[in-house]
Amino acid sequence: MNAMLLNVIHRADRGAARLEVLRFQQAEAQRHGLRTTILVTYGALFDAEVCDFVAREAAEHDVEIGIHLHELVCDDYRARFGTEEKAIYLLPTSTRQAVIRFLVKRFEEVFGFSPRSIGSYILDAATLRFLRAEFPGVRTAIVSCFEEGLKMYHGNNRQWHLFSEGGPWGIFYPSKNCHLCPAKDDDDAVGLVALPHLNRDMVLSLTSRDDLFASHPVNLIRAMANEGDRCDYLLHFIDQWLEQLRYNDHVYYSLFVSPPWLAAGHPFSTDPAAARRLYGESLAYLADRKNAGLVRDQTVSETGEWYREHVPINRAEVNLWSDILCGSRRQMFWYVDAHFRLTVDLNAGGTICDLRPFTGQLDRNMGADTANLWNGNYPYLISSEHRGGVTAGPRQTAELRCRGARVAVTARRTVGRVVKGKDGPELVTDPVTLDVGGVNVTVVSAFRFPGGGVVEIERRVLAISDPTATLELVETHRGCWGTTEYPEDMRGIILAAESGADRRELRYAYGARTLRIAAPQRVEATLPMARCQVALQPVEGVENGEAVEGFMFQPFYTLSLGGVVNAGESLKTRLVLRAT
Amino acid sequence: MKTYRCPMCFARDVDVVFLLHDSVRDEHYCPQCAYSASAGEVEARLSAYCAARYRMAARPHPFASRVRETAEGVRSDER
Repeated sequence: MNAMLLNVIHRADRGAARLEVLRFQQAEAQRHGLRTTILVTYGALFDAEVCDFVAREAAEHDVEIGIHLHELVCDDYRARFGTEEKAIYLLPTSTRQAVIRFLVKRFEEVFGFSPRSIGSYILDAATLRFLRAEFPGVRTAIVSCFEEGLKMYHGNNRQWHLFSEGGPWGIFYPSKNCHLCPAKDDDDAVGLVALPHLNRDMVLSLTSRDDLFASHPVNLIRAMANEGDRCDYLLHFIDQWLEQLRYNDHVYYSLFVSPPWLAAGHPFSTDPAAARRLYGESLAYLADRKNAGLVRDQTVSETGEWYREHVPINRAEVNLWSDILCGSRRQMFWYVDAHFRLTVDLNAGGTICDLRPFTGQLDRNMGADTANLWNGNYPYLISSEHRGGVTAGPRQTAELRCRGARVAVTARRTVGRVVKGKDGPELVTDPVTLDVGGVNVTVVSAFRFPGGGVVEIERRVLAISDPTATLELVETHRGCWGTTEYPEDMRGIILAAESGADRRELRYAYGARTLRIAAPQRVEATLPMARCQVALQPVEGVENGEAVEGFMFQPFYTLSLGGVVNAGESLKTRLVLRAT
Repeated sequence: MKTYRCPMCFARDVDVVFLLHDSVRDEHYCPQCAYSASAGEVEARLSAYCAARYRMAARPHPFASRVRETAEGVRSDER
């Protein structure tokens, strides 16, 4: 069944002003015939008027009630837990658990039943394991803010500490070991269904601030992308998510605006009437799409149960997103499964611009008593955005070499389409034509996902303007590791090139050394710090392979495979990720 | 008094910096970067930036056009 699963989520905060907003939100959703979930915050559980309203809504309108873990700070919280910490995900583990225990107990006293859903900006694996063990009735949780991290941090003048980069954008079964890694199998699954906090613009998720360009209508006012009470981008945004149903069995959509955004006095939402108009228009359009049979409105826990019933563990999800804001014609393609998350920038000719290897399932637990402290980002092997751009930074691309010139497909923008292949969705780019030493070469790229941590990449040469020219085509993977924009210590990485019994290795020491091998079977980098190995393997045999060490000013490694190709021929390689 | 985001910071994707007002010179200045200007200049710069960056934000959507088309200017979703 292809449907967009819709959660309209409202947060109940304490106080009359915010209750007035909640009343407005509930009335708007009911006017459009949409189900809602109200997540109640700490302070609201001590506000009788708010709790009465929420309980009545549940009784009269079949609203689900759960808990939200933001807005913790109030007098009771300070007195009871002796802290000013705003973020539940940054509290020491024992305090965090005590807060959740207290909130669940208080919730049960107020409403007379146990919550089935809990929301937060981040719930790390340690917290998910705790929830599963102590509160098995909680089966669905809002676990992460997709790709909120460095760009959001910079944009907020380095004052909003939320680092949640590198995970899935949709619904998934989180691993016991890491809240951002989809589980590989039943044993690996923590036992909860994870939802993202909001949907994001999937181009701006990498290039800008996806906290501003999301399924949160009022953030468009913050971004100054509205004209009064109009911002049709919001409606095109919903259409873009509906478009994803062409490639996936289901799509998740979360409309979640907390009360301050719709109240008077918000520093960024200076026109509450316009904010409410935009909010109402989003609901109206989602209701319109529901009436067209494209949207199924559910409560949060209903979505979790639907997912358990319909989606097996380790089901891949893809997203092909076109820029609908800036008019750049840029497209990004995303793929995620239990082994990795990969992003292809079609503006860079079909270049892998981001790669997160989940095979190692690294601990990304946060809090004052953890090694990671604030940093919940899952490590990348490739992040062009954080580490130098697609030209100078980490990337995987195809390089064309002819008459002494070297040009990568990165140099020409293209667009792509998702087609159905034997192993599931495939990405195919439109051809790009490049001038390589005075010879025009036209190349098309295809990315296939057979599972098991493998990407098959085909670069097919469609035409060469000079048939006498000798063209070399080289698949090139330039990688590193990190979670921020700063280089990490690369020592400990082992590079290798292998052909039959001939295996050569070097330990990374910033020495700019090269391992070169003929008729390679694989070139690889082993990264103990990411507990993973990344390799390039030829599908049909190639002439040359290299593993190249970087140096301090360019702290990367480069793996490459290639050889001479003629028009009509392809270079087929596999990018293979496995745990070490 | 109306508040303004700093156009220079905003163009760097930093949207949390608000200009301060110097009442002696009737000028708005940024506490973060080296920008200062009159209210009119600030508004013009922000408008120009948003118009250039968000070229497709106002692209009419069929649903919005449908619900906004009323003789009296009242949106049909409110009737």
